[in-house]
This record gives sequence, C-alpha cells and structure tokens, in this order.
Amino acid sequence: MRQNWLEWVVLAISASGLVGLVGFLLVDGITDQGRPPAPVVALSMDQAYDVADGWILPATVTNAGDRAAEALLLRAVATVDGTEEESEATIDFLPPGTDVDVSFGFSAEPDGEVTVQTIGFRLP
Amino acid sequence: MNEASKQSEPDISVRETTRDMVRAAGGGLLIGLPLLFTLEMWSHSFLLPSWKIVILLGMGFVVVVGYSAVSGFRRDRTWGQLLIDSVETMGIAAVVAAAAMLLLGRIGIETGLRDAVGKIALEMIPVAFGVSLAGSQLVSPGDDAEEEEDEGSTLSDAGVGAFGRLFISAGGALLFALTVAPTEEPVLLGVEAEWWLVLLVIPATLLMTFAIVFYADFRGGRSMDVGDSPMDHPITETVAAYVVSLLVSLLLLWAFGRTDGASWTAIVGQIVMLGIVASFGAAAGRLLVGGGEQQPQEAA
Repeated sequence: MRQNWLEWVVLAISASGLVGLVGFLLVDGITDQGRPPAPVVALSMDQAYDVADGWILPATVTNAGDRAAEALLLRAVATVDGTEEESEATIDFLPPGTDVDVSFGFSAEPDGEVTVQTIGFRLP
Repeated sequence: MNEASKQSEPDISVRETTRDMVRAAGGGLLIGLPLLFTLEMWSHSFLLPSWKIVILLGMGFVVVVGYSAVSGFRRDRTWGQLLIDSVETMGIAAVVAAAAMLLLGRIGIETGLRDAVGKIALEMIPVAFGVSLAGSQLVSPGDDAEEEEDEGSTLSDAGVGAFGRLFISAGGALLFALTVAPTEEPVLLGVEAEWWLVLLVIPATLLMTFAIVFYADFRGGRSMDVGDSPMDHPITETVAAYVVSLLVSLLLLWAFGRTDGASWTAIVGQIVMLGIVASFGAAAGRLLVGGGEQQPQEAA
C-alpha cells in the first residue's frame, strides 16, 4: 500500500497531527466553562520610555475568561505633576489566552501609581 | 534514498512522492490562499466554540473522502486506502495552513494555544480541498496516468452517478461558499434584501446554474439528455443541486454564528444570497467530474 518510507512518514505525521488537533479541540470544548471575558492588564513599568511630548507606558493585556472580548476599551489613570491624567487604549479583539500589547501615554512620568480600568467591551 | 524504489515491484519512488507532496501543497495554496488572507477566518478561530470547528473539520473531511472516492485517483483503491489518502490530504493541509499562518504572522509566540489550533483547523479546510484537487484534477496528463490510464478514467466516469454528482455538488458548494460565509457580506446582503429581490434571486440562480452545466458548452458540461433515473433529468438535477447548495449555505451560516439571534426573514435572505455562491460552486463541481459517458466524444 504505502510504497516508500516518505509516504509512511507523511501518513504518520498526518494521522498524529489530525488526532492531536481534533483531540485538543474536543478536550477544550469539554473543559470550556464559557466564562465571560476577563481582561487582565500587566503594566511594564520597567519598559516605560520618554518621547518628545510625554511618557509612554507599555502594557500586556490577557484574557482570563473563556470567551473573546471585542472592542475592549481600557482607561489608565495617573497623577502627573499634581493633576490627574487619563489615557485610553482600545483592543479590537482579545481572544482567551492570547497576549495583546498596548501602550498608555501621559504628558510626563506620573508621580504615583498608574491604575487601569476596563471601561467596556462587546461580546462578539 | 532510492532503496525503496529499487525493489522489483512497481513502487512509487521517493522522488515521485516528493513531487506529489509539493503538488499537493501547491494545489492547497492555490485554493486556500483567499481564505488564508481573510480577516474573519483569523478571528473566527477564537470566536467559534471548539465543537463547531470540529464539525466544520468533519464536513471538510467528508467532502475530501467523497471527492477522492468519486474522482478516481490514479489507482483503484479500497476503502482503507481511500481513508488513508484522505487522512494524508488533511495532514498536508494542516502543515500548509500552519506554515502559512506562521509566515503571515497570524500565529506567534504571543498567540494562545487554543487560538493557534483554531486558526490551523479552520484554514486547513479550504487548503485540504485544494490538496484534494491537486491529487486528481491538477495532475499533468502524461504523468501519473501513464500506466493505468484506462482503469483510472473508467473508474471516474462510471463511478459518478446522479447521487455522486449531488455529492460533488455539495463539495463544490462548500468550497465556493466557504470563501464568502465567514465574511460580513452575506449577512448584509441577506438582511438588506427586499422580499421580492430574494424571490428573484432564486430563479436567476437556478437558470444560470442550469445553463452552466447543461447549455453553455463548458468543458465537462452535458447535453440535456434524460437518463434512466428521475435524478438524471437536467431539471431535477439542477433543482436538487440547488437544494443541496442552500443546505450547505445554511450549515455554514450556522457554523459561523450568522444565524444566532437573526430573524427568520434575515436567515432566509442570507441562505438565498450565500446560495448563489454555493450553487455556482455546485455547478463548477459537476463540470469538473464531467458528464460520464458523453465525455469521450469531446476528448477527440
């Protein structure tokens, strides 16, 4: 039937790949609890940098839920030189388990902590 | 390297297998490319629940098995061989889809595992159709056909009965409609269409697909001869293929979540609009397998 080693190799890879793919999806489907989107923001203070008109703070957003969030709006708040400043970032799609990088901008490096709040998102 | 090919039996050499694989990958890309570049396919990888992706994969697999069975490859095969070939087709498609997603930057280290698997699983479906076609339709004539040309052609010609053609219709419909179903357009067309437009589209589609298969004299088209079975009549076949196309459309719309929360009029509108694309695919599929006994006259 299979007439040379290469065909055997292709068959072996194909069969194991398919079993792995379908198996993974099935296990994921069974264990999926359908938890709503839960954005988690990790600020990278050590990677913040100055630009001509201010200060940029990169952040990584993950989704701890099981469902994706669409049009996610995040708002960062910080105090710069005594006044409160706001900065927003939007994410088109936040799939579960995938990291999305965003950046918040302020006029200068804030005095204290930067807090981030989820303003809203759509359930696709 | 050549040990296997030096055996006494007429084995397929590693070189030939390599060429088969390259052709399979090429065919897969030729057909799969539009969907590899479709935004909605990428996002549906995490928007769709896992079981829906598995169902879509299953539909794709059935079409690949059916297509291989009907189109009669280069050697006659048992069911076991057919299944093995189909598994290989899906495997090659998965590798091609994964490589394409990596090269296009759609899968990276920051991509979640479920997201990545979903992308590969969805994108490999159209690629698998291309791989499947590459196995038969895209083979250059003087190549694999050399030894078993006669057997091969009788198998494919005699094997496609009225119901085989319906199966091919479903495959063609799935192939065509799949390129459109994940996008926003069918929803927009279906929702915005007036009732009389939807009613007009139905006969227009039927007429056009009827003409493509039975009148326009395409290669693989057929005359209007009536066969023995009631399904062998041009009109019944056209209508049956249209119904199959509408069913495929409904299945795809449901799978891509287009029916969720939609009104019945919107769903019917979407089915009929996507059905245009699906039934042209069904017609193309029937052209591909040709008209059985009537074909040899044209071959001269």
